[in-house]
Amino acid sequence: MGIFSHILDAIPILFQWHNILAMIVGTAAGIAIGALPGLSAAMGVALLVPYTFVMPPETGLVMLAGIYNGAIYGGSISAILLRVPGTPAAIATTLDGYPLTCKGRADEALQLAVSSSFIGGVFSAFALLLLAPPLAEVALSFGPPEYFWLAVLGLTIVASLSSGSVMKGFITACFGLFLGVVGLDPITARERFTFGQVGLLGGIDVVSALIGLYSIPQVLRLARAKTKIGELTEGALAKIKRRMFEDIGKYWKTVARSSLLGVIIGMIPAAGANIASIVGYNEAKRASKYPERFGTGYGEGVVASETANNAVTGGSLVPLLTLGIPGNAVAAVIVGGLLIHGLVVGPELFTKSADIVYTFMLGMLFTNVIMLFMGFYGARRVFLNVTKIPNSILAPAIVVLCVIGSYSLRNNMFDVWVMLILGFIGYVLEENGYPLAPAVLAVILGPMAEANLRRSIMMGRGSIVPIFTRPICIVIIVLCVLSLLTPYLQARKKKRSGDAQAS
Amino acid sequence: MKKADRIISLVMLLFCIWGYVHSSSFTEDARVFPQALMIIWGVLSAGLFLSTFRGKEEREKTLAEGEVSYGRMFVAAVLCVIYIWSINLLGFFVATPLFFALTMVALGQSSVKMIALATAIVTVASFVIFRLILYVPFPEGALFS
Repeated sequence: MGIFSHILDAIPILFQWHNILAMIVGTAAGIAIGALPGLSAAMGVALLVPYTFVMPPETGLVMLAGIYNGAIYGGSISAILLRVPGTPAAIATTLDGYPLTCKGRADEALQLAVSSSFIGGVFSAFALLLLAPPLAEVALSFGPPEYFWLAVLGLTIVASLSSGSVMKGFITACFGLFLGVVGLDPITARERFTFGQVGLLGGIDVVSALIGLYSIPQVLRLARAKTKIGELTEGALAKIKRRMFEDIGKYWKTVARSSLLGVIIGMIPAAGANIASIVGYNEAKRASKYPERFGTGYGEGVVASETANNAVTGGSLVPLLTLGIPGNAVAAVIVGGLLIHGLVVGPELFTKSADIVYTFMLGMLFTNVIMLFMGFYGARRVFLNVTKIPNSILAPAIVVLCVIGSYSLRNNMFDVWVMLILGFIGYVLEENGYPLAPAVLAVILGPMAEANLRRSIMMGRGSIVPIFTRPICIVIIVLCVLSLLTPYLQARKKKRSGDAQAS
Repeated sequence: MKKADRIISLVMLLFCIWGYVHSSSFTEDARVFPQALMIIWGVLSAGLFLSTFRGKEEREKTLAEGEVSYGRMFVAAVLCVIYIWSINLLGFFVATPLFFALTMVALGQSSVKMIALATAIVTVASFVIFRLILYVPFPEGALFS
């Protein structure tokens, strides 16, 4: 039987009432989990996997699909309204999302986020449905040298994320890289900068660092401000009646680029939505005629980041379903969801349990539609009200959520202290013009860069030549150079055109 | 801004020197990356430190009087520290309502009804969502265990 006959067989199963209900519940739970700082998509799926045991396999799996898609989108809600990214994948969304809220255009930002998340998610679901086996082989050709350069590519984006001083951006990136070094050495397991603290042996958790660096400075700003977020804006929140895909059409190139990047990065094991959203944002800025508008409340920035991070969802399941290799933490947890229903991931899954697998893949597609409606109508009726809450309630509520989020990562109060201390450091740095996004990016990419560089050198028996000669490495190196040079070339071009206009 | 940059870059530079020396005690494999990082970070910090002596002082964007209250912010920061410290002692579900109500008062909320209602909602919601549904095992506190 071909792919299309499998899809036709799966459609009636997907639209059984209990499956539709499971998708609605899963998507709503996913959006809520994603919007809460510290509760990631992986954690949401992991917490709800046991509940799916009592359900028929296809019902449990479409529910997990809803949680996954919903959580990745949900991170954008708090990123836009509070400048607190709900998930690490929404870091890039804060750069333009919150400035849009400050301009009184929060509903526009939320509408762009849900529309672009929907398009990215649908694109990746189609990629999963139709192109899974050939795409999986491409993803598997990545080895340590390619991963090293992928991490370096991510780090070159620091220049783009540094609004204001690029030097300060690189300094905060170094701070982030240092945070990534703390703990056990990735190859020899020797202690580094642990100061005898058992809590530091496992390193500084990325999510703890993210919550601290983003949430606590925002809490302190709310505490010192005498007005609500809604009153801090340059006018009352706009009450314009919006259509579902309004404004997104003018960013179609960005949507297409970010969708493609998201699917490709999603398929590469261990890369994931965090990297995809930042790469998507950077590439949009690089290709834009108005790069200076990024970071100031520009809709295209939200679209670039949100399309890319939701495009990862289907991509990350490609190597999982076809080869049994999970693309990221969520995919790894979904393996558990499949296993408790007796489904063993790998090539045979498509022949032995085609009805369940295709229902799951169609669920990945359909939950995006549910997410679109929930996000679009929820934005106006529920989410926007967050900006009307008095700061005296919002500030302590964010602190409580931060404590829960950082504690629940490893059930460890040490992570809560790390979160708070990093938060105070983040506040001081940010108040003095040091951007924090490069620091978080470096915490994520630093350990990946170091471990893969050292593995590559071991593979080359002490030689670093192989990391420069492999074909995919050469492509990524070219991208790194372009990424580093583009801001300077754009600034030069702008200066020239300014000089020409002046003369 | 330049004065702050000078202090921050100097602190970072000193930290990099300490970090470089400290990482010499690691094994040869384990120290290469941290030492390279400390050199790059140190050079950038030194560059920033030197740049503060060049050019004119930028005019800082200042917020108008009455727009902000740094006193409230300081109190909120202190309450955060006390809250996290008290979780191990009192337990999450005792420390949280205390922190919530005190912070609301510190941030200028005067309505007792509002304080009681918001505190009760947040505490009950976190108990139901995180303890009953998501099984997050919060600390019960040394006093109650």
